[in-house]
Amino acid sequence: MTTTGNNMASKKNFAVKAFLLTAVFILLPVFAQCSQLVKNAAVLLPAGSKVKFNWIIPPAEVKDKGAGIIFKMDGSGNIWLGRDGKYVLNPNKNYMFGIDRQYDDFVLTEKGSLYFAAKGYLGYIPPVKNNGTDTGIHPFQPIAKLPVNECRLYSGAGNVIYVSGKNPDNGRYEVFTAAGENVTRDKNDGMKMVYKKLFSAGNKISAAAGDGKTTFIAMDKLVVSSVTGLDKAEGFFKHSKETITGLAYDINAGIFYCTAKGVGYAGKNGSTEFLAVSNPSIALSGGKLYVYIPAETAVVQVENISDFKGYALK
Amino acid sequence: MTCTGTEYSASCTLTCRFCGARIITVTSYSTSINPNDYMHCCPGMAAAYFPGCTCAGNMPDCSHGSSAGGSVNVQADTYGAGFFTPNSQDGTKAWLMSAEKKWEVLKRVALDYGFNNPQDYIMSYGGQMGSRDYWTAKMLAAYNEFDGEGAGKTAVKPAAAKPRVNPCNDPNVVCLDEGQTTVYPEDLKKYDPAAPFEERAGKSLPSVIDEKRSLKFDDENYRQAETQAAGLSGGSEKSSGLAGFLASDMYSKIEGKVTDAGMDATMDALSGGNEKIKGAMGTAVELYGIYDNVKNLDTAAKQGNEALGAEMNNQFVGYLSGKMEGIQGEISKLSIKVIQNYTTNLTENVMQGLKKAGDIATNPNSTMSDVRELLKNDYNGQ
Repeated sequence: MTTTGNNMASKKNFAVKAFLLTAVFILLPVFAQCSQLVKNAAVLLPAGSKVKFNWIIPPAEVKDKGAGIIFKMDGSGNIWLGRDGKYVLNPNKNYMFGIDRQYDDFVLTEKGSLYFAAKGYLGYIPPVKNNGTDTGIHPFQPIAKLPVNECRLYSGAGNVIYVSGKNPDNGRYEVFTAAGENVTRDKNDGMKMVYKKLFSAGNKISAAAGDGKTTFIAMDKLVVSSVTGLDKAEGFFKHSKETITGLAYDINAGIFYCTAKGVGYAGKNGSTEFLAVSNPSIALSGGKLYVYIPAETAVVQVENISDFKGYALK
Repeated sequence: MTCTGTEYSASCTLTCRFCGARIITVTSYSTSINPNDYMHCCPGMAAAYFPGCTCAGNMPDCSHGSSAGGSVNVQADTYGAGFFTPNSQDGTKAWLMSAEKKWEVLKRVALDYGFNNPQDYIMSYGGQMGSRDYWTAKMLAAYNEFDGEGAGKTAVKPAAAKPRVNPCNDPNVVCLDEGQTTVYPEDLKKYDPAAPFEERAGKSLPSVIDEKRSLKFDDENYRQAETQAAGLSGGSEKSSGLAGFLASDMYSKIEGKVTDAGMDATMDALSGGNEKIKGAMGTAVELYGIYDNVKNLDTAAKQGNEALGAEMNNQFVGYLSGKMEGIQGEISKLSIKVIQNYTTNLTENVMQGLKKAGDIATNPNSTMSDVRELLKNDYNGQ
């Protein structure tokens, strides 16, 4: 391509538009020993943005498909990786353990409580006393039967847990809350689990997030928001091309989404996709967004995420 | 490491909140760690913290009950019902942070001791409470008029037997466990980790579904929501197109393989498909400027330059230095080996490493040197 005098004004015009639309982009390099750019990854930020990126786990030297890894965060900035439905690793504390039943998913609340979905039950790992017999494989103790099949667990703001899955009776996909408050006592002190069903749809639900009152639910390319008690859900965000694979909600910043190709922010006043990367998983902890990049076995921390509210594009 | 209310981790140690004595080392990251389970009798304590309990060895024995017709069994006190005030161990329990819940706890404990009115309970047993609990209870009682049946009475009577309830009898819920009755807190703790799974599952809580506030989303709702959302999501469309381009074709350019198709895609994304805007763009000269900047930064990175970015032509072009080892420094360096093996090759050797990691995690005397040694010996290249 060549530059002509005729397009110099266009060039300025373009520069302004580019500034308004994009202004900043950053390409992520890999770990120090390689000093190469991370392949197929780019960050796009508005000019003047206070958003910052930090490697929490730098890209691995030996590349891996990262298949079968479940990425979660607790409320204290600890990373939790699940593998093969059997093991759990907390790299921040260099701690790893297995459980004695195949799990489908697990979740951590903001306060650090760890729950598993396994064998049709919501359960936990009881404390293990240091009696010298610990094998590293811990027993799964069911708390209560899960309300649907193919269950996935999502942490919400304020210690909320969302459960989603498929109702075997009618084939519909449903979302429930299940938190400590859902374990209720009757007048005789007897305890039971009360799942509160929030949402039911014929379309497959791929993610849920929220604070228990306002819930965001992803189905295909669409994200809807539903306020408990109001008998309606509103269209909140629709991706132009990709299916939404994950959601993360921060009370101050708002809702973040990921697809097979990137991570973005969706706000009432607009949205922006700021990270292009393959098959990411996202989670929020302590007001920061964490992005797991499977192909690099890396975790990036995104700071000052409230800043996106002021820069999202119509 | 001392266990805290917000962070239960492997190898943390619970200490008595009164005399600081080590009670137990917790070895599992779990929801069920309740420091109240490990109530401690400090030296010189004739009676344990709970009224009606005595000290047997260094642990409280509450099995004798009390003359008031009931006692709080510390071992089974799953929700800390005997405590009123937060402490370093259980201060984050939701009920402890809520005056309303504390009040409910106080009422329940009073009833357990045969008092319908918490004021009477405080009068009878206040002398055996810690001062903070005593004054908390007094304040709760003062601010809450106990309006239950028999308020003001001081009669001491045994608590009635508690019949189990089948939650499925509630017509407002959908039952998941037909015929299973509610479970008492103490029963939850009687499971045997070595018991068959079915037996453990049998001790779980009965489940019901409350559908009162459920929203049924049909196909028409879906179409309306799509239309509604599409109007709000244009920014994402533009930015995802450009970000995608930067991530794919930009990378190709750096490798000397830029494509015209990629350029067109970028201009499409920037213009939002508006042909006039697209035409006005002319050649994407600016993009070449960006390419050059990226190449410069890439070169700088390869030369070990740790500069985090540069401002060029009103744009901030930067990168995260590969030498920045993450904000958690040491953790990142140690984690990387574990994660590589965890994700690539979970071999028998790694499993052995897992066992050793468990040993280290369960030993309160373990140090970071042990962890380093473990990583060096058991995870290196496995």
